[in-house]
Amino acid sequence: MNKLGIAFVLLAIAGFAIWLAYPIYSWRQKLTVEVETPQGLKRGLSIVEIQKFKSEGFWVLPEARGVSSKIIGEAAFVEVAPGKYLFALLKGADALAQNTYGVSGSMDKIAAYMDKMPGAWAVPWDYTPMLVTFGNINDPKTVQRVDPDNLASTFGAGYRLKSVTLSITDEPITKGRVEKLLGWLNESQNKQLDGDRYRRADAKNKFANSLNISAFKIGDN
Amino acid sequence: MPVSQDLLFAILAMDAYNQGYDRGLVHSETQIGTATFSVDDVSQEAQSAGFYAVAYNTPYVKVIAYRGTG
Repeated sequence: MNKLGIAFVLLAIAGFAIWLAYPIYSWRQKLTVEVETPQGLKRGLSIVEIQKFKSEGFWVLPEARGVSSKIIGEAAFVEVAPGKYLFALLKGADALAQNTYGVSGSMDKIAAYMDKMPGAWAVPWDYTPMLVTFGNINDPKTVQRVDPDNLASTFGAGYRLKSVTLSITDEPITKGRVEKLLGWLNESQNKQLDGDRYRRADAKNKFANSLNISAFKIGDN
Repeated sequence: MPVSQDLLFAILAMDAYNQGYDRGLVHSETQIGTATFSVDDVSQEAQSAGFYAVAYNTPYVKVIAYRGTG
């Protein structure tokens, strides 16, 4: 075997060892939000990819073992009225499928469940993604939390969250829609929505300070 | 019973893993014993780099706790 062949074999062995030590599990999930409005039923969706990285094996330090997550995609949103949008944020999206299907245990078991989950499941009410809207869609500081039990208090009479459902899908990740809608998104990188670089206990606009663009768009999207 | 300064600092070192993004234990406490959450960094830049640091006000000094590398 020549040197190139030996190098190739060594690389293949190293790759296999890395795969054994750091297996990656991934799936795509479609979140659909339906809102009853005086103008009829409005619907919005997004498809995000969830990646789970497991670190294990005797060569991994005990404190470094475990599962970490990565979300790739953007938030689902619904135009509930002309110029008025309801966003279901990405916060917690990495655990949403597990919570919706009620599956726990090893990562292998969870990933096997994801492979065979057919159809759309209602997201348990307690795990409804955080919902927000903007007083002025062009101003991130005007972000407001929306109560899933009482959309009318934000949008007015006749508005109600009808359903939030999740399904596992092979469809491509939705891209660019949130970015197109929130023109300020790319200018707000590395800032909280109130414009501050950090989250602070003494922030004046606590809610805007608690969020940044990763709630709307995250990963290699 | 009041905890010692060393124990409080050890608890805050641990709590850095339970605040911010990708938390180990999800709680929404901003008061940890006699320490209070002050400032943290959850920016995309920090998340992309896998970095997380949080500052607490304590009766002793301001404490900055940060996670080790994964």
